[in-house]
Amino acid sequence: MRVALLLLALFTATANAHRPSDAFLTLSVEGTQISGQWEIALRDLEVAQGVDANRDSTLTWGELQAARTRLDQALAAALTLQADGAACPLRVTDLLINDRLDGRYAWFELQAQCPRTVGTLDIGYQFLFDLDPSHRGIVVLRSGGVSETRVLSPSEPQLRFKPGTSSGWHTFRDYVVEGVHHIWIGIDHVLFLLALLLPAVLLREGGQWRPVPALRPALWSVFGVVTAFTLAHSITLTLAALELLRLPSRWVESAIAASVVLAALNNLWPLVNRARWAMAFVFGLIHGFGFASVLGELGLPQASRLLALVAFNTGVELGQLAIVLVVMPLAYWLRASRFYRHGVLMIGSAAVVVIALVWFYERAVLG
Amino acid sequence: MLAQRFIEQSRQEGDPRGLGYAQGVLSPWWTLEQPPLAVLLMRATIRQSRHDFNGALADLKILLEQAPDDAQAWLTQATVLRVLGRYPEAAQSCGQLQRLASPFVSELCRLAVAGLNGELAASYTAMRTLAGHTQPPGLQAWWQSELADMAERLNQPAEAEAHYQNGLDADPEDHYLRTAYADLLLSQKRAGEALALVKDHDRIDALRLRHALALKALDDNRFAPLDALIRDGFDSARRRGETLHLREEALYTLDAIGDAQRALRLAQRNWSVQHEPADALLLVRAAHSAKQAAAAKPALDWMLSSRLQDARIASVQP
Repeated sequence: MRVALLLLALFTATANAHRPSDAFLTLSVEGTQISGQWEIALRDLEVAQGVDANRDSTLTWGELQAARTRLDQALAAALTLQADGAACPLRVTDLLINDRLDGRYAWFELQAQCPRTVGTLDIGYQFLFDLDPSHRGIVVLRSGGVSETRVLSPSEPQLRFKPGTSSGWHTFRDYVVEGVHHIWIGIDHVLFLLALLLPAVLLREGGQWRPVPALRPALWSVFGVVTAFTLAHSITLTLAALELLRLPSRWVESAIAASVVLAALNNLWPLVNRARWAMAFVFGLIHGFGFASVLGELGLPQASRLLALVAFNTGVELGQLAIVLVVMPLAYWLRASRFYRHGVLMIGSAAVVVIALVWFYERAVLG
Repeated sequence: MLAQRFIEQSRQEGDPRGLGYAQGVLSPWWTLEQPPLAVLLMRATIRQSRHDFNGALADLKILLEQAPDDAQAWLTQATVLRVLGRYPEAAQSCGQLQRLASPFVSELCRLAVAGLNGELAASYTAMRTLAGHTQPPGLQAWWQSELADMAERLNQPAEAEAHYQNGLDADPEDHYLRTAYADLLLSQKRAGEALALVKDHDRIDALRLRHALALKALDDNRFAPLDALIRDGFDSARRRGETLHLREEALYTLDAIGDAQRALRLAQRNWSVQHEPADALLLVRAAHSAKQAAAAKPALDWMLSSRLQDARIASVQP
C-alpha cells in the first residue's frame, strides 16, 4: 500500500510523463568484454527503487548518490548477461544524468566481463515489469560495426543475440519479404510485365495472333522479357536507392502508367513484336525508380545498406518469378483458344489500357 | 480500487504510465480469461485506452453476461462500438442505459449514436433540449462536446464554437473537448486562437500536437523543438510496436510534416482500426492531398452505408 500511494504521488511530480515507460540499454560487445549504458527515466527509477528520500516528489543528485550502492546492486540483479550459457558478472561503474527529449534519465555506465569470447549473448531483463507491465527495455547491441535493436518486454524478458552475424540474416530476410510484397501489391508493375508476357506464347502472322508451335520460342520470349525487365529495374533501383540518381516521383509514376498503356496498346496494334524485350528494358529502367521510392519509405539500415538493397531486389525478382511461373504455363496451355487470343489478350489488353490511362491522368494531370 | 485511481489519473494527466501501473496492480488476474468482474471492467477500460477495441469488447461481453445491470459497462461498450462505427449495436447498448442510468445519460448516449447514423439534424435539435445545465461539470462538458460535433457536421461552425466554449467553461480539464475545439480553429485558419487555447497543456499528447500545428501554421520558430519532441514520440511508439497513435501521426504527417503519401498510408492503417467521423475526414483529406482520390473510397462508402452526415468531409470533395 505504501508503495502504491507513493506511485500516486509521483503522478503530479516529475516529467517523463505523457509517454509509456521505456529504458534504453546500449551494449557493445568486443571479445570477452561487454560495455555500455542503461538509461532509466528518473520517474521509473523512483517507482522501482524509491530514491526520493524526503518524499518531495523530486529526485535530487544527492538523493541519487545516497542510493548508489542500493541501485547498483538492484540493477545488477535485474539485468543478466550470459555468453554461451556462462554468466558475465555485471558492474555499474558510473552514474550520470541524461536529458532526453521526453525528460531526465539516469545514465548508468555498465561493464561486464565474460569468461569466454561472446558468440551468443543472452540478455535477461526483469526491471520494473512487476510494477509497470507496459515498461519496455529498448536494447541496442553493437558489435563489429553492426548494430541491432530489439525490445525487451514482460512477454519477452529474454533475448538472444548473435553479435555481428544475426542482424545480417534478419535484415536480409526482412528485405526479401518486403521486395516480394511490394511487387505483388504493385499492380502497375505486374500489369506491365503481364502485358509484355501474354503475347510470348503467340506469333504474329498476317495481322493475326496465332499460337506459337513449340515451347522453345515461347520460353525464349519469356526469358528475354523477364531478364531485360529485371536487369533494367535492378540497375535503376540500385542507382536510386544509393542516391546516385534521382527523378521526381510524379514524373516516375506518370511514366510508369504510360509504360503500361504502351505495353498493352502494343498487344492491340503490335508495333514491337520480336523486340518486346527491348521495351521491357527501356521501361524497366523507369519501373526501377518506382521500386526505389518504396524502398526509400521503408528505409535502408545504415549499417547494411547494400545487403538490404540486394535482399529487396532479390525479393522483387522472386515475387516476379512466382507470377511468371503461375501465369505462363496457363498461357501456354490456353494459347490456341479464342478465349486466350481474343479474350485475355485483346479484351484484357484493352481493359489494361483504360485502367492505365486513368492512372496516367491521376498521376500526371491531377498530381 | 487503486487500479481505478491509476486509470482516472492517467486520463486526467494524459499519462500512459498510469495504465501500466493499473495493469501492474491487476497483474495477478490480468492473464485470466475470466477475472473477477471488477477487474474485467478495468481491463476493458485499459484495453480501450490502448485502442485494443476487440479486446475491450470481449471483456465487456463476458462482464455483461454476468452483470447485466452494470451501467458503466454498457456505456463503455456503447463508446467502443461507436468508435468502431458499429452504430446499431452501439444504440442497443445505449438502450440498456434507460433502465440503469439517469435519463440524461441514456438520452445523451442514444442521441449521439443516432446523430451519427442518419438522424443528425433531429438528434441535434433533441440533444439541445436536454437538461444539461444542471448536470455535473464532467457531464455538461460531454454534452456540449457532442453538440459541438453535431454542429460542425451540420456546417454550423459558429454554433459549434459556442458549444465548445460552454463545455470548457463547465470543465476546463476536458482534453477531448479542448482538442476538438483546437481542430475547429485550425481548420478555420485561426491558428493564433488555437495556440492560445492549447499552449499551456503540453503534458497532454493530443494538445501538444495541436500546439505544434498552430506554431507551424503561424510559422513560429518555436515549432522546431516541439516538432522534434513529437517526432521522437512517434519513433519511440514505433520502436515499442505500438499503433495507438495512428490518427495523430497521420494528422501530424499531413499538416505539420506535409508528406501526403505517408499521411495517406497512416490514415489508411488508422481507418482499418477505427471508424469515427474524424478518421473518415482524415482519410479523405489525406487521399485528396496525395492525389489519390480512389483511396478515399472506403470512408465514403462507409459514410453512405451508415448514413453519416459530415459537412467537413463533403467540403473536401473536389
